[in-house]
Amino acid sequence: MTLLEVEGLRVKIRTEGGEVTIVDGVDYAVEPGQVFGVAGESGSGKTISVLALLRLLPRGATTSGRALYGGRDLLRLSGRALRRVRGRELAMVFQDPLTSLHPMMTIGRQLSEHVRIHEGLSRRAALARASELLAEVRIPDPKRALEAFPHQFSGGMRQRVAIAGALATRPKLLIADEPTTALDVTVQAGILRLLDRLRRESGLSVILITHDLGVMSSIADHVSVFYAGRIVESGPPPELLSAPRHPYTRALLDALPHPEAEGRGELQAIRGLPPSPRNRPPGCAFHPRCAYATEASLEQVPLLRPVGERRLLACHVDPFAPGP
Amino acid sequence: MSTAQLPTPTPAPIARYRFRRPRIASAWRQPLAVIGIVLAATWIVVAILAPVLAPDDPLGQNAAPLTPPGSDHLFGTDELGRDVLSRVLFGARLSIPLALLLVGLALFVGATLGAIAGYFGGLIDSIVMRGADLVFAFPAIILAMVVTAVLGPSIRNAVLALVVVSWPAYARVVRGLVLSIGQTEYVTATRLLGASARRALVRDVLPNVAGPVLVLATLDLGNAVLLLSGLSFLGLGAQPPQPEWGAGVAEGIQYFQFWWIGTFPGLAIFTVVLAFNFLGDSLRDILDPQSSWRAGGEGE
Amino acid sequence: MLPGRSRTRPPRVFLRFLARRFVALVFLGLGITLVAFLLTNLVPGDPAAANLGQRAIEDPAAVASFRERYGLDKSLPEQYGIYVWRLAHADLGESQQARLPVTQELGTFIPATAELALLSILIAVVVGVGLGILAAIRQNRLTDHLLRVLSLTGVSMPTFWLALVALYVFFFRLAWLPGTGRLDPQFSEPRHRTGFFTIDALLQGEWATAADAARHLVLPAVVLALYNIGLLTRYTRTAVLEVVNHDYIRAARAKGIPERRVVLRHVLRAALPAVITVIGLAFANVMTGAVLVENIFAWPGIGQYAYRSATTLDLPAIMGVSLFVAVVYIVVNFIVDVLYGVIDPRIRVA
Repeated sequence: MTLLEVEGLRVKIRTEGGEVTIVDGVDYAVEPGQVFGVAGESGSGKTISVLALLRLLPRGATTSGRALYGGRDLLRLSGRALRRVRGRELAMVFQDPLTSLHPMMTIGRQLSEHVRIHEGLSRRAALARASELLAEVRIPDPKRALEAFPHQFSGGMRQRVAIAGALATRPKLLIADEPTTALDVTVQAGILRLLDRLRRESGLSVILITHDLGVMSSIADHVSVFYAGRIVESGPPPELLSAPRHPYTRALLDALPHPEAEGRGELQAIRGLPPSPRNRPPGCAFHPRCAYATEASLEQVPLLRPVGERRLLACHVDPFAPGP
Repeated sequence: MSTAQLPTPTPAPIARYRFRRPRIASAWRQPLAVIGIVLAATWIVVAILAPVLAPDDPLGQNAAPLTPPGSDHLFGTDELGRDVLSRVLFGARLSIPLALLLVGLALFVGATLGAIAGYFGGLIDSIVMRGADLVFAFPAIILAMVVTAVLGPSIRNAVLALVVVSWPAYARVVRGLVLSIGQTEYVTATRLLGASARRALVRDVLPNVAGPVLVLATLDLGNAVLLLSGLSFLGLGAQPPQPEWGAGVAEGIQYFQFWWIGTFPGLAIFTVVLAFNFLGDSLRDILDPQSSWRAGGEGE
Repeated sequence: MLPGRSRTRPPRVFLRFLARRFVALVFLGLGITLVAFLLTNLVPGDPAAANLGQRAIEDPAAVASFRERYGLDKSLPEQYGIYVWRLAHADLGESQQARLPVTQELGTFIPATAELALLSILIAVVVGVGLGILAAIRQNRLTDHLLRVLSLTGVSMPTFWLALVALYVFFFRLAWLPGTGRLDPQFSEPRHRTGFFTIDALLQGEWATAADAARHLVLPAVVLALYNIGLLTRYTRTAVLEVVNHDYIRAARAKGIPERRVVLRHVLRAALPAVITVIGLAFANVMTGAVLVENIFAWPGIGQYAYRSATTLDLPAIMGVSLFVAVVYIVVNFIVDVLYGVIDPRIRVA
């Protein structure tokens, strides 16, 4: 049974220069216990698309489409119902652990406040829970950590604390926005192992946003590649990363120093820059940077269609289709 | 009331001003800026044309005393039978040029001392900035009051006294800017490219100092008018029979029932100060787009 | 591995920081006595002329005895030395006008100003911070624009004119509130305990007196508060807006913490250091305003005393007032420093 089903999600933001479409019609589904990966460059709309789910967008943003969770549309919840879903059912971890914890509140308070609100626990009980959580994310000496402030921890430790805070109410879905980008590689691995363990042990689903395809291959069950506010390709990482079908996915992989990018001798930067949401090219938004673009790419927006088992592709050309 | 002791703009985000040319178009999108410009321009015109505009001699005791506002005397007459409207119009010739002079002097003294302190550092820096601290420790008007009292009450001494209390704000800002700009990469880069120190100062440092200092000076014009009229109100600035606005309000307090005597000079002060504050606040918005919403939000 | 934190004992680093600040402020205080002293001595005005009657000034013996009495015949460094020595013994000299010890005079005037100033600051903080938060959460909407105009209006109005208008409307026209002084003549001053008439009267159980004292406070306190309300609204708005875009506020919302709590606990706490800085400034503004407002409302406080001493060149009194003002400045700044440390743990240990 699907946990979260997103259909036709669109986000527009009003700016000085007029209304800009950041996310332009996105569909996906997250299954229980699954790590759902969202990949793409900066500005591709991946963060905005998940902030929209929790309704954390800045003022001036309008959202359309549906996001069904437990039979309810998250995009239409309001007030009390929204607050109950936030934190209790869906939780979020942000990119930079240096800024996502309140600098002037104790760790204990930041881990227990919402537990008390959601579950009506006493201060003591909530702190006990917080201390268990800190132990669970492998923070040494949890009791003392409760009394400490964020600046007393390293970046990696802070991210663990942030994850503990997000998990304090035992949510079913964790949205992790580039949780390892700001961290050292060794620390990254620790955080990823932690997420993987939590998923295995408690059936937690994770939406993992990252531009790092290496991270994806190690943990995700399913990957969607975003480009200019749309999904251009999706599928399970082993196949998607070893045999990408979309020229953009392929270019992303070529830009990586990873063994997944088979058959390419040297690293290749992608030509040009990602388009600004203000003036997206017509047709396939990738066509100005694509070596395989055709007449159709210039005129028509390619739709996401199934290609093979569990894989979807939005490309008119499909230059890397396996031979018959 | 007023002191010049607003939290001074922090020099840290200096890079934001880099090579930014003020966009006139966006200034016009700010209604408060437009209102401020119109108000200020009106008062400047009044100051220039006061002899033409005023229906009467501001010092002439030509009418029945204490006449309420009416068709003969739009703002009424005071206890000596002088036309209040004429006195208010002529008051602009005192307050506005003096405020400009005062801010100009404070800016010159403060900026010079601040630049010297920031550039040389060390002992000179300590002496200048401890001096600034000392002045800051006194509320502006109390210090100015003592200074004018000992120099003898006159409008000239009031201006001098207020220069003494207003320079530290400029010194602090300019010193901070000089310190932070000297360390920013683009100045280093310019120097590395072989530009002379003077060229670096003129091309890179000055334009970056200009923005924050301009905001401060504009807001300070309002403060200057408030402090000057405050001193005159206390009898330590303009002396009778000068048609000064603060002195006019003081008169109005003595002839309390005759509301028009004090109300109109006070309104004049208020509108002039408001004009400068509208302008200064809008300038800050234009030069520092921080407060407007940051587009994107992708946070990467 | 954790430095840890005990709730009862602030870390030594913070204590050292406070000690450094304290020493700096004490030196500032000394500097202030020097400035006040020099200012009142290096100037052309002749205190004897200002304080002796016309007849006495023509009598050289009277002038000489006046000079001797106030130590004006000694050299400047000597005079300063004597001044500081006496200061250390809480002796501020004798005022030339009333011939009373300056400490005694300050003692009678300070409570009047303190009652007025503290009430005024309380009003300004409650209203100004509240409006500032409101403006920030309504950013770029009608409420925000209106509050911007209102706060700029508040800082643009000359206090003395505002006092005049307030007196005219609420006292003279509407007769809702009393005009000048601290009490109506039919009430006698409550027995001195704090010097705050409202509190002293309440302690005494004199309800009518307390009510009358409170009514006398309303106009001057509100007039005095307006500038600070404008200032606090503007700066609180800015401080809150700097905070709300941070991820930790988003994180609090993402945890389903009610919006009201997010604003009052999470946002406000982070914005507090900036707000406290401005509240510190509010004290300076209130001292400035007190000089003007006390004159108009015939409020027997420090502001009026300062004005009277300055216009009569009453040197011991001027120095006494300067010193008092400087002490207020130093104490307020020190409290602000301590509060930074209490609010922000990073300052405490860093």
